Amino acid sequence: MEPSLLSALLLSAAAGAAAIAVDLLPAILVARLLSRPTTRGRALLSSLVHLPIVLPPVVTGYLLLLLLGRNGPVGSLLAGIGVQIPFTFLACVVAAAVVSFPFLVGALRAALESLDPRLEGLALTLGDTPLRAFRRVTLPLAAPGLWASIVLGFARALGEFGATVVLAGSLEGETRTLSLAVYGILDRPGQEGRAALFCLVSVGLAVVSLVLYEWLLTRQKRRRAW
Amino acid sequence: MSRIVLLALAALAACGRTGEVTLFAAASLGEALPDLRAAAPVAFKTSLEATSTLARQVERGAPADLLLSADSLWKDYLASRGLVREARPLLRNVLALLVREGGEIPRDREALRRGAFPRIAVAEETVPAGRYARAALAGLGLEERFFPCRSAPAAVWALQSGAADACVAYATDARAPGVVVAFLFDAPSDPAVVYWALLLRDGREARRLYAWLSSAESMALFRLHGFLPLD
Repeated sequence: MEPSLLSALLLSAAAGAAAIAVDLLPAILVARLLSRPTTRGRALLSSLVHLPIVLPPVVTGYLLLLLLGRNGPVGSLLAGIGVQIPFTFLACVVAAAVVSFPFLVGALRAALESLDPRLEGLALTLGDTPLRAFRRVTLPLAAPGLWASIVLGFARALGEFGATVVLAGSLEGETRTLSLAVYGILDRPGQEGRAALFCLVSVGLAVVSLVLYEWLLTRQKRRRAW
Repeated sequence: MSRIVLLALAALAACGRTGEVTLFAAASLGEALPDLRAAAPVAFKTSLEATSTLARQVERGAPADLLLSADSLWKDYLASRGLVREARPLLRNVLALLVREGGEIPRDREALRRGAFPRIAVAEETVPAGRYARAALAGLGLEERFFPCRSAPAAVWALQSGAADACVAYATDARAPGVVVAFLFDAPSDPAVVYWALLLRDGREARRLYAWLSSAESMALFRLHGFLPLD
């Protein structure tokens, strides 16, 4: 395989996996809050969570750059402990984490809402704490949905471009992910063959992810039928 | 779940390696970079974009050690912000009007103006190649035909793909297949294209690469790709 393709693919995969790892616990928490009709401020929380889906990704990237840049409120704090996010691999992770988050929450929330709330209630009457009931009863029942949300979030992270190009630049081997590599190739004359190869890989990844996602969703729906 | 976390941490560790020099280079130098990399005494990572894009990234804190800028304006811009340690002129290039092979070939500006070239691909105004192109075609009333692109190679690609009918880029870009030089902008009144090497961060390896870029060996490689030495 072409080394630049392999490098871009590994970077995308690593950034996507790291993004999901960062997102997972907050996503479970938020999906749980959104799935309960009793949660106060649900509409506001939901709007905030879904903002990265509707904002132009370039705007998301620029806002992150303002926040995390050297003079930004968070960036200056991080600089104090020697951590730089913009234009490093971490920038790819942050960009992917932010844009994937609503996808993780959305799929997981649907899975949680499809479960019979009486099951968790039953666990509570049997003496479980709410956290334990959620962890031991609800989450295992929603497991296919959780995996589906991970697959969807990861797929979105792999395709991430707009926020990454602003926050991370396009440094080979460090921030040039699959999408950025494709964009770079399209810019240069006489690279149609490489462009086709990169696009084929991107399409292949997307198709595999979506098939896996649908399969997991079907499994989740079957649980609901019990 | 813990497996995902472990994988992510391993990936982070692998990507956090340091020590390698980071070279930001003007997009138009792209064709020469593989040869330079093979011959250079220092391993380096590159980011190839329009000089303007790279300079803005440097300004926002991108950890680049060196920047090869396609003009002196962006060098001055970074220097005025205290981001340049050292700078020296490196190479010359010549601006050229490119057209597709087999079509009408204008021999000068006037022929371009009168010919059937409704779209002339040029780089964006902030990009050195775009600024040079606008200076070279000033006063002809051609601005309405300009088709702005992200960089000089992107403008050539617009010409190649048929999105534009002519293109102002560098003579070195004429090596792309299906593209020929119609004429050069090489009169004394035409804009002088000078590339600058900027040392942005001090470091032993970065300094070594900076010095090597001006060496006879590196110059020979640049000339192989059509770039010209300074007079």
